[in-house]
Amino acid sequence: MEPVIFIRRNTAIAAPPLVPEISLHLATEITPIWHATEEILASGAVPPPFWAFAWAGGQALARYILDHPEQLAGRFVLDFGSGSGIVGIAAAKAGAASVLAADIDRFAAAAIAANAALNGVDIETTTSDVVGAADARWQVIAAGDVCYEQPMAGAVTDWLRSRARCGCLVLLGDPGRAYLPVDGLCERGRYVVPTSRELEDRDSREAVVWEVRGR
Amino acid sequence: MTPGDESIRATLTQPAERGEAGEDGADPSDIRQNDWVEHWLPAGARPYARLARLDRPIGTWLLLFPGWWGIALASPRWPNPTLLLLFALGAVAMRGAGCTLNDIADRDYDRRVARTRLRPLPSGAVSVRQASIFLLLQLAIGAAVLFSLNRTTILLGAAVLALIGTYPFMKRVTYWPQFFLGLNFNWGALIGWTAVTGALAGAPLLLYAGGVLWTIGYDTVYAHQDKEDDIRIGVKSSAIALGEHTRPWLFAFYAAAVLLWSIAGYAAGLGPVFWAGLAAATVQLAWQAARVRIEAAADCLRKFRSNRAVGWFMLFGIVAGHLG
Repeated sequence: MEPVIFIRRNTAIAAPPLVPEISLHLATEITPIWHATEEILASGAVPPPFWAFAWAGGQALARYILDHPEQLAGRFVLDFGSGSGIVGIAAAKAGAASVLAADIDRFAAAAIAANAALNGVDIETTTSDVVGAADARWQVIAAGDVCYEQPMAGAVTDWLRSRARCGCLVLLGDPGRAYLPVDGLCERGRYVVPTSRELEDRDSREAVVWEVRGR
Repeated sequence: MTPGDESIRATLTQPAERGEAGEDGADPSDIRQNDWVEHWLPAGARPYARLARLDRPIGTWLLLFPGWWGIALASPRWPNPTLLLLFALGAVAMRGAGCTLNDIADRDYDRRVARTRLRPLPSGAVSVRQASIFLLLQLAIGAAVLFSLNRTTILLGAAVLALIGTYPFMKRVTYWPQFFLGLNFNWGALIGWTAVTGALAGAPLLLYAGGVLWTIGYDTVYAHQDKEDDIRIGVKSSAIALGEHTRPWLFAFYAAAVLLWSIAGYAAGLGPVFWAGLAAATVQLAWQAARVRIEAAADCLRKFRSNRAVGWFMLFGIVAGHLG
């Protein structure tokens, strides 16, 4: 089935609580997405639908970007581990010259395109793995909630640092995930993000927007 | 010289004033008398309504349906009615623009063909300059509709303009202008999909490819009406290329269209009701291909127009296929 049909069938359009100006195709309690995906998951066809949720780190980063458009306006932005595309959409709304949303899940790529269209912004997508890539065009790399599992977090952190050393502004939104690096981070913003108990085991999470330093 | 040639020469050489409905009702002109355009529109607007073919909506329907299908194919629940309306407005404007451009390009040919001699340009009801301004106005309406959609759709919509510009001239260079018409007329399948989803995918491309074959089929039937005149004035068409072998080719074009549409429906995850709609469309297409009498112009026109039913069957199948 076309990914976008799966997405539209299993989500509802809603605004994440911290970023009400952005609408997304999101899983809700009434949409059967976990069940639907488990079936397809069992067949090995798709990864878990991370794109169907506005994660706390991504919401905080999107909020920060919308409130500080001067950080990205007119610049080339890479939204890494884009998921729903919330961070990339915020960057486009903040006036980024160009936004590339990278997520290795092709369902995420379809969700990002559908969400960008929903918000009337233009975002390019890629499903290739950009970790390790040294594309000099990227002036800003924004990554929301990418430190939730090893070994991905380690590889990603090393890569983000190397990009920061090359003069790229690297922003990381994180609600205290287990594999967040302990040093080389500079706090840029702090937000309380309303969450659901099903997803995060609590009603809210404090999420921090960090600038990753090259050291 | 065959009797057919003689009668064509007779109509071709009749003065325009006498080329109207005769006592026997055999009106060679495609401008109808006493229709709603004459009854309801002010005299100044009538030639423009004729340039845009508002009196002959079948072309608009055939342009609109692929767009509606594309929207519906991308919409697992009910398609967005505002989007459907926008596409309808765009189809009226762009079909009108296509016909106006065609009439501007063809004005010298049209003057020599009985069926087209009373059209607004050859008859002198509007000047080329007036027709050109009207063309720009319609393109502006089409552009306004397009620019209300998302970026991907705007870029795709702009891309088809190059194709639209080439079509009226294709019948001078190839026997398959119907193929180019199909490429144009079914573009809606792509932009209907992207207007909803923001990105192209396999399903709308299959829908589009099926639509191109459908158009080649129905426009070949349509072109059989003009075959003799076209040969005389040196214009090419698939009807001339296929001639007596048209029927098996019609079956082949329509069968390929149905095959591509069924893969599109499968790719979009449509449920069982889609197959009922597609089956109804298939029966309609098979009826056309089996029954059309290519030597009878009136029957060609009737079969051509009957393709609106295919549009409705498919639309019903896609919408209902998502719901059930």
